[in-house]
Amino acid sequence: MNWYEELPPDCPPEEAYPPKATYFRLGSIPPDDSDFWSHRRRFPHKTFHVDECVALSLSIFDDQDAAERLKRLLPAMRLKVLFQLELIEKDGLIQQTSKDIHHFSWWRSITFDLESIKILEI
Amino acid sequence: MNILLTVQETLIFHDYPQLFVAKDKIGGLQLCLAIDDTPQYISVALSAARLQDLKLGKIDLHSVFAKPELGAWFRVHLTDKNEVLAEAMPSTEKIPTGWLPMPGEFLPYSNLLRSETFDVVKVSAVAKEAGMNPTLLRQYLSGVKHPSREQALRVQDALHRVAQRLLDVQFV
Repeated sequence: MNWYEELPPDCPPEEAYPPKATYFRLGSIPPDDSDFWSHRRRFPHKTFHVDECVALSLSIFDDQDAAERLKRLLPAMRLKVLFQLELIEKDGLIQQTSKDIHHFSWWRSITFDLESIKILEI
Repeated sequence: MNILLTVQETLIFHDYPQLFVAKDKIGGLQLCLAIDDTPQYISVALSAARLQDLKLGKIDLHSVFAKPELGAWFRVHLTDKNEVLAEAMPSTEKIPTGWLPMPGEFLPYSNLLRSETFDVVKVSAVAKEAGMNPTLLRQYLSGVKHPSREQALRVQDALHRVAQRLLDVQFV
């Protein structure tokens, strides 16, 4: 698979699998490509003390309520809007990560189409 | 006053750590929260008991930051090591409401019991120590059932007691 961002060896981990469902992501209005950049690309000079492979992934949720709850909970996410993504195999690989059981890391492939996202009113 | 903190545990991750626990050199805990998407962070000191209440869903995140136990807030600066620097905000400075989580919102449900933890201990031994049916514990670990935070704490305490007994073993 051709990755959108350069990934280190053994990344994504072998436990990651192709997506085939509806996922949700918090982003900005109007959405642009930078809404789908990893934090390593957005903040190349900041150190967040996380695994480098995860630093090169995007956060998505398999549950709309979980994403909406996070928007209410976190000041940094309050101004974001909710994107609905219908991810399929060609879009990359995903893996459940972090303590939140609804949170997944998504390693984006170059074939993901930004035009496919749907913006939800919440 | 600046305090050097070591990052201990990320509680909420969204593209980067949004909420994490850090510890000072004498074991004092600070809860650090991203307040914007640049991101900048603030922190408050909190007791182990309050952190446990937050994790158990007994207290909302807003309360922890709106009413800090020591009545003080810190600005947190990232470093290039596994450390952050907490800088005390002037006591006259009130934090903007936009920096606070919304009231009544609790930490998201966590995958509390990690099956890999049990690679090195017998599930039945921990279940027995916790006074729990081993089948139920196996169901928690496989994800068939989800434990409440209280149940997870019960398993965690049992695991710690088993680990302590192992630490007490001396062959020579």
